[in-house]
Parts: sequence; C-alpha cells; structure tokens
Amino acid sequence: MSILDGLLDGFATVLSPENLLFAAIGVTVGTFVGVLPGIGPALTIALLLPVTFSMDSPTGAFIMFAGIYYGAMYGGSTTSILLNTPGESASVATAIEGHQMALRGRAKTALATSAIGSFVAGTLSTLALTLFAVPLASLAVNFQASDYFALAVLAMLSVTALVGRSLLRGLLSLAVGLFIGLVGLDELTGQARFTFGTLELFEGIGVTLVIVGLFAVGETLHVAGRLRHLPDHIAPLDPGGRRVGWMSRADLSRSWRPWLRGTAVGFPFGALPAGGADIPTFLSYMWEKRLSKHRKEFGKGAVEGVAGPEAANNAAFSGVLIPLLTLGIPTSATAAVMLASFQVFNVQPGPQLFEKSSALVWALIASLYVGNVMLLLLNLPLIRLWVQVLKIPRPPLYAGILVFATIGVYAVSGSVFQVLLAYGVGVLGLFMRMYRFPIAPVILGAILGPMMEIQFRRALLISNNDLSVFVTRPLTVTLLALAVVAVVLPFLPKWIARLRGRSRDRLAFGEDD
Amino acid sequence: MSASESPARPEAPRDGAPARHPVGPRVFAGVLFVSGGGLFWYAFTESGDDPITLDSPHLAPLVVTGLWTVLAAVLLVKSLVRPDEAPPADPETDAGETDPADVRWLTPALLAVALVGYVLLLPTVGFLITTTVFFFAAAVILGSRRWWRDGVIAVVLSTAVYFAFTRLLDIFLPSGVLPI
Repeated sequence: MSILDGLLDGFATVLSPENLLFAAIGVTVGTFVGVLPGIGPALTIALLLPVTFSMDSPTGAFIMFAGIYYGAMYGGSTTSILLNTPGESASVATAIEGHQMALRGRAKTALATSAIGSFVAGTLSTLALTLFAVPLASLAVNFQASDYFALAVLAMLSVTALVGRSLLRGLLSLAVGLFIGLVGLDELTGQARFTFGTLELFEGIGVTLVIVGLFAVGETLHVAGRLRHLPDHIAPLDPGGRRVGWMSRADLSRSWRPWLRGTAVGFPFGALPAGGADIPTFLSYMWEKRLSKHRKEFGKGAVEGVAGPEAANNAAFSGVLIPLLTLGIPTSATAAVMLASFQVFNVQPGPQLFEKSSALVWALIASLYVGNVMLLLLNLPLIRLWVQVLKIPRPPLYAGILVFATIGVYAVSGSVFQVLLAYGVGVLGLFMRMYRFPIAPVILGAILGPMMEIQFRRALLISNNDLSVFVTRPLTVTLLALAVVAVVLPFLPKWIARLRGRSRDRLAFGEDD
Repeated sequence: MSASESPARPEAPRDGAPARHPVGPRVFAGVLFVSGGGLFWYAFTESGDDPITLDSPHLAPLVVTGLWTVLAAVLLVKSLVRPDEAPPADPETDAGETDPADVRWLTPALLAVALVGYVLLLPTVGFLITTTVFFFAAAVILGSRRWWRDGVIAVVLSTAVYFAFTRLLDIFLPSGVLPI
C-alpha cells in the first residue's frame, strides 16, 4: 500500500462519526487535564488508560490517545503562559517568555502565537511523519539484536544526559528505573528476579504504575509540602477590563518565521532515537534570541520566544512518534506511556507495525491531522473556559488527582498491593523531586531496560557468546559511539564557557541562580 | 521562574552568615547507597550456585544494582565532602521554586497515611464511601477550609465516577457495604 493510499484509508476511518467523537473527546479531555497545573501529557494518558479498556477495537482508543497527546500540549501551554507552571521541561521557555507577556497585558497574543504555532508545527511535522515513517520502518527491518541493544543504550543515556542538570543524579535515576524494569520473571528463562517471594511481583512492575506513582502521587506529595510557595496568580486575559485582540499584524510577522524555524529544529530532534523535546525547545529559544531584532525584549516577554519554542515542542512531539512507531523505542515519558497503551491492546510498535497493523497506524496518523484542526478550533475560542479550569482550587484538585491515580492502578490490576506499590514509587518520586533527581530516566530505564537486556542476550546467543558482535557491526558501533557523545555533550558548553572565562547560561537556570 | 525570582538557597552563605548544610540530601544519598548495596546482595544471593555468565539472567541484576550502589556512593561522598554543591533547579521537577528547608513534611506525611488507609479499606468498605471520605480528608489535609464545598464535590465526584466506571465503561469497582 502506498503512503497516500494508507493515509486516505486512515482519514476514511477517522472521519466516521464514531471516531470523530473519540477524537473530540480526546482533544477536549487532553486540553482539560493539560490545563490543570502540574499534570503533563504522560500522566494524562496514564490516568485515562483504564477508560479505554472496555473499547472493542484499539482504533478508537488510539484516536483518543492522539487527541489527548496533542490536547495536553496545547493545554499545558495555556497554564505555562497564564500561571507560570510548566508541566514539563519542554514548556519552560514558553513559561518564561509567555508569562512575561501575560504580565504585561499580552496574554492573548502569547496564547495565540502558541496555539497557532502549535497548529503549524503539529501539521507540518505530522506531514513529515507521514512521509518518513514508512521508509524509516523499512530501513529498520534490517536492524539486528545488537543494533536494538545499542539503540536502547543511546535512547536511555542521551535522555539521561540531556534532560537533567546533574549527570550523576540522572544516572542514579536511570539505575532505579533499570532496577524497576528487572523485577519479575526473566522473559527468556522464567527465572524470578527481585520478587522477594511475592507472587504479585512475578508479573513485574508496570510502566503505567510507575508513571502514575511518580507523576501523580509523587507530584501531589511534593506539592503538598510546599503549598505556600505555589504560584497562584492567573494573569488576566483582558487587562483593565478592556478587550484586546489576539494578534496584531506586527505580532504575526514576528511569529511566522519562528514557527517554521521551531518546526525545522523540533521535528528532526524528536525523530532521533535520542529524542525528547527539551533540547530542541531550548535550541529554538536560543536561536530566536540570536536572530531577533527585539533581543532586549527576551526575558521580558518576546513573542518570538514563545512562537519558536512552542512550535519546536509540538514538532518534536510528533517527531518522537517516529522512533516509537518504527522502532518501538520511546524517547520521552509520554512516548513510554503510549507504548504501554499499545501493549494493552497487544499491538507491538516496530518495523512490522506498518505491515501488520497498517489500518490502525494510518488511522492514528490521520487522527493527528484532525486533532490539530480540532485543537485550533477548540483552544482559542474557548479560552475563557480553560481559564476557569485554571481557577480550580488546589486542595480539591490534588485530592481528585490522588483519587484518579488510585482508581487508575486499581482498575487495571484489581490489586491493593499494586496500588500500594504505586504509592511507594510516589514517595520515592517525592524525594527525587525534592533532591533534584530527574524523573524521565526512571521511566525510560523501566521500559527500555528489559528490552535492552533481551536484545543483548539475543545478540550473544546469535554470536555464540562473542562480545565482539557489539563492535564489529558498523550501525551498532555508530549508535554506541553516539551514546558516548550524548553523555559528553552536556559538558561541552561548560568547558567552552570555562575556556571563554564565563559561566554557562542555560535558559534562566544558570548554576549560580 | 527566572533567576531573579528564585529564592536564595539557605545553604548559600549570605551577608557573611555561616552556611547551613541541609541534612536531607545526605540522608537520601545514604539511603540510596544502603538500599543499592542491599539489592546488590539480594541479587548475588538470588543467583545461588549458578555461574554468572554473559547470557545468564543473573548478570543484569548484578550490573544494575552494582551501578546503583557505586553511583550512590559517589553521590554520598560528594554530599559529605562538598555539601554546598547542590545542582541547579531542574525545570522538569519544578523544584527550584522551593528549598527543601521550606518544606512542611507533615502535610505529605498525613496525605500518605490517608492514601494507605484509603486503598486498604477500598475493597471491603467499597469505592463510594472510601472515596468520599478520602477526597474530603485529602482536601482538608491540603489546607482547604471550605467544608461544604469539598463535601459536596466528594459525594458528587465519587458517585459520578462509580457509576461512569461500572455502568458505562464496565470497569469493576468494589461496591463494598453499600447495596448498589
């Protein structure tokens, strides 16, 4: 089937009334939950996973997830701009410039440039996904066990090295994640590992449980300890009661180039198996700052500083779907939970996905286009509704999150033990947040660790226990070399800065804050 | 979230005042080290008499817990030798806004107790009653003083969720002592 045929079939599936309804529910729920402060897209999908269990076909569920995926991003931007609480690190640039714009009475412009930028980037990068996914999947068919092992190493190490601020803490987080992934029966030999004699641990610890524990329980406990320090001032949409417009001609002419540049940076970075959205949003921010004629406005609310990073963030988000769909490698927490949701329906992403589940995957891609249009229509006109969501008082909000976290795990497992385990992971998450350990490596370690080990042992099995299999295949060597580069890369700015005699400047979070 | 807004860390000496070294990070590093070591030992005993070869299922547990222990040891030593050196705020966790010293531990501790009570009673007492009580209690622990509002939300939320899950989505939630 050609790409066009596949896509047209996908649209035919998505444009049925039932699936359109799923898409509409997805984007609405995604935006609603994304707007809630402190909840990012990963947790949104993890919490809503049980809702799809009763669905007969996975198609509707995935169309809904695609809607949630994008919706949570759009919603998150609104919160970053109006309340200055980025739900994830990729929204930090938006939070800085967007919130400064909002404080200066330009909230609507910030929201508009972010929403339209997200739409432009989302649509263009979905187009790129459409064009590149199938050729990349056919390339990936030739990948061998040692390549997959190297890919998993690269994905884990690069995210660990690039996301956090301290490599040591990042690697410790990764080790914790790898440990979580080891619990249960060994897939190849059936040997019990770290089960401590408990039957309930034989099945292992699910990624959904880890995500709910870390993001819902951990975040709520973390918030609970510092209630007095939370930002609670929502910037007004129309300052002084007079209605202001969304975007002037000048704003538009300052925004369209950053939208396109952000997309150009975001998509390839997201599509790399080293992925994630943090680096491209940061790069886009620095790039816009350098190119802008209004450089002095940066840090005080420059429209380019919202337009570029938001586009980059959204484009990277679609880019992340490339390694996820074609290789089965998640490179962000959100992608990890998407992978978990695929597995709930017994769909295994990887090179064969486009052959085995062609109808499903094309429907998913088509729904990204549809979801983007829906979100543009839904986001700005309903902004007053989303502002009301932002006004939900924190105590009942977080009480509700804990209730949903509990049901989320209980409904899936029917086991009190699993819920207690999620709470335990949550307490760990509380301390990790408190002492500034990055969270994403835990999740990637838990999901990629088992895959890495299986591929390692499979490669050894094929090579008769000859370790040289990892250094003789060019692709494996290249990927492992890239993993080393990823670990060294974060130190480069520091070293260069030291050579230049000044400390590094990483957004506004310099080491000497 | 900008640099100018973030509160100064108390461990950074200001105006010549002596530095305060927070104990928390060192305790946490110590706990990580001890638990890593314990798990390494467990992995070692779990392997029994089996030889630990490259393709054995015992290799990965030893490597991972060994790595954990070594990294935690480095962190522990660093935090003991140079306790001032905290990493900069991580936007992902948004932790830079509050210093651990400003955290009130009672609230999360009470919440954790409420959570455990909630899930232990859930199967026997039932979803509706436990969720209503837990929601209300959690809101109060989190500082809400609008009893009526929270009470009404608690009842409406738990009822709506119960019937939506069990009747619309066919997902089992325990009915417990209520005849529903």
